[in-house]
Amino acid sequence: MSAFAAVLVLLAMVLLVAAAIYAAGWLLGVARSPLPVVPFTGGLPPAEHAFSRFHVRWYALAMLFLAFDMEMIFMYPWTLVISAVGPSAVIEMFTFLAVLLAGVAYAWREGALRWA
Amino acid sequence: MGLTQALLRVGAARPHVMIASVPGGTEVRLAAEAELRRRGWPAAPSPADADVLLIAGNVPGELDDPVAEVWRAVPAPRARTQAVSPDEVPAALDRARSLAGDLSRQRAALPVPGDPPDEGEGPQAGGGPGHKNGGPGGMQMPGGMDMAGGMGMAGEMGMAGGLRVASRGEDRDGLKLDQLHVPLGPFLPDWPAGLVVRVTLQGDVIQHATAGFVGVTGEGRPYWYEPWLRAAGERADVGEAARRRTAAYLDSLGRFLAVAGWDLAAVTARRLRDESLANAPEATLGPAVRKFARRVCRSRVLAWATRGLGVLSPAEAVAAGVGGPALRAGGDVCTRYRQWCAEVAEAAAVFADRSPADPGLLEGPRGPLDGRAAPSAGLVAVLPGLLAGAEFAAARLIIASLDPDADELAPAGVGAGHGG
Repeated sequence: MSAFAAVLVLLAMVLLVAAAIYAAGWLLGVARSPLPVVPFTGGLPPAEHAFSRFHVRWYALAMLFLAFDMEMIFMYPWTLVISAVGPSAVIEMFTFLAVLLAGVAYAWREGALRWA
Repeated sequence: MGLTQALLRVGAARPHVMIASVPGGTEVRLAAEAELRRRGWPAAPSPADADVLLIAGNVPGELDDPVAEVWRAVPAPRARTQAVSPDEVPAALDRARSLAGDLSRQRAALPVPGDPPDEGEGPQAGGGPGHKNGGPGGMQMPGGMDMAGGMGMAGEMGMAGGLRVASRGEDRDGLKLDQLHVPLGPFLPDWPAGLVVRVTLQGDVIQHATAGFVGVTGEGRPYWYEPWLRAAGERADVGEAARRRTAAYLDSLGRFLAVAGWDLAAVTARRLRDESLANAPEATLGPAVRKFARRVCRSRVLAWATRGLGVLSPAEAVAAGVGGPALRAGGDVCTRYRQWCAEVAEAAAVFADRSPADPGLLEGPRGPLDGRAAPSAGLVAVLPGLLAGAEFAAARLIIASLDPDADELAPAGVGAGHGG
């Protein structure tokens, strides 16, 4: 069986299982249509949709996350080549980490981690 | 059809029950909670999880709409039932269970578009305002896009899912941020009956709050104060008053611990509360209560989670008319629950005291009920000040640590006008 056939079989199985779940829901459910509801806050109707803009501090937090994320992405392949490349790989990695950590320290100083 | 019926019956063997407790229904709520625990039926925290909606007490007119709104959000199979006295609870639950497990009655009660909502017990069709918005799901993105497009213009109103989107207001740091107006209550899990708190949220920080009770009829006498009100006429004895006080604080502690996420201790608090009210022998109950109070009081995790929240100084408390443990604690959420624990342990020592209580020395669980403003009116009055600036999760803890009781208020009670 070629790889392509295997993908097709998997796709068919996925569709079949999904269809079976929908069919079971339609056949066995008490109500056939879903219940439209608003968010529950205790029985009073909401005044506004909860969709709202974030405070600007979350963007600083997102940048912080990116700093750590890039670190990790760089480190995975690094662990595989470190033994072959030798000390220069270690020096490069720690220089890169220092640059990122400088960014983190700066964000910390600016209060990106301060809550409320 | 047969399989659906069989599945329904299996599901209804242990239905999830949401208790909607209304002002004046304290005794019914206690009976219902005890009955649910006896049967091993789980309590549903929201209508989405509920199979049975149990209304504990007589629903005052003001609360008709919120009850209907909660019922509308309960998905089928569902059953609605009501108990207005503690004795009616088991029968009401039995009726609800047989209804939740009956396919033909469930199908017959499904909402038909355009149908007016019918009254009375049993599955109801929803069809009121707010129901025909088409649900919030599909329209979120267009609403969000509108809003992003209109960023530059302050005060522009977009629509999302049939609801307005939030408009902006000044934040404390000088930047503008969306303000959400969120009503909390009157039917939330572990929430004082009838309390409605309207908060203005920016992010998860509360900028402004108003608090008040709705549906206070003033009928009957406040359940937790019975021995004290009675002590004025016929004499109640010290032990009985101590039991009622212990039960009141354990009820408050159960709520508080459930809100704080310590479910095991919350269950223990409620079990001890019911035993205290059921006149369990002092020899076993006293030590159990003291052990429980000591364990909660000593918990470091709980103290860390609550320290510094909702600080109410004695001077502010006196100015607002707050009495009882909230005044005696005179501090943050942590000192308030520790005060409850200390007083519970104290009261547990005099369970067996049969001497008549001196009405002059007696004081109810939330403060003296001396004809001036009810202590809970003071607790509600301090809420807006304590909630402003608190985070959303902290707000629930602050409210649970004060636990105002609607039953104390007269019809024209002090806090009653704010929330409606």
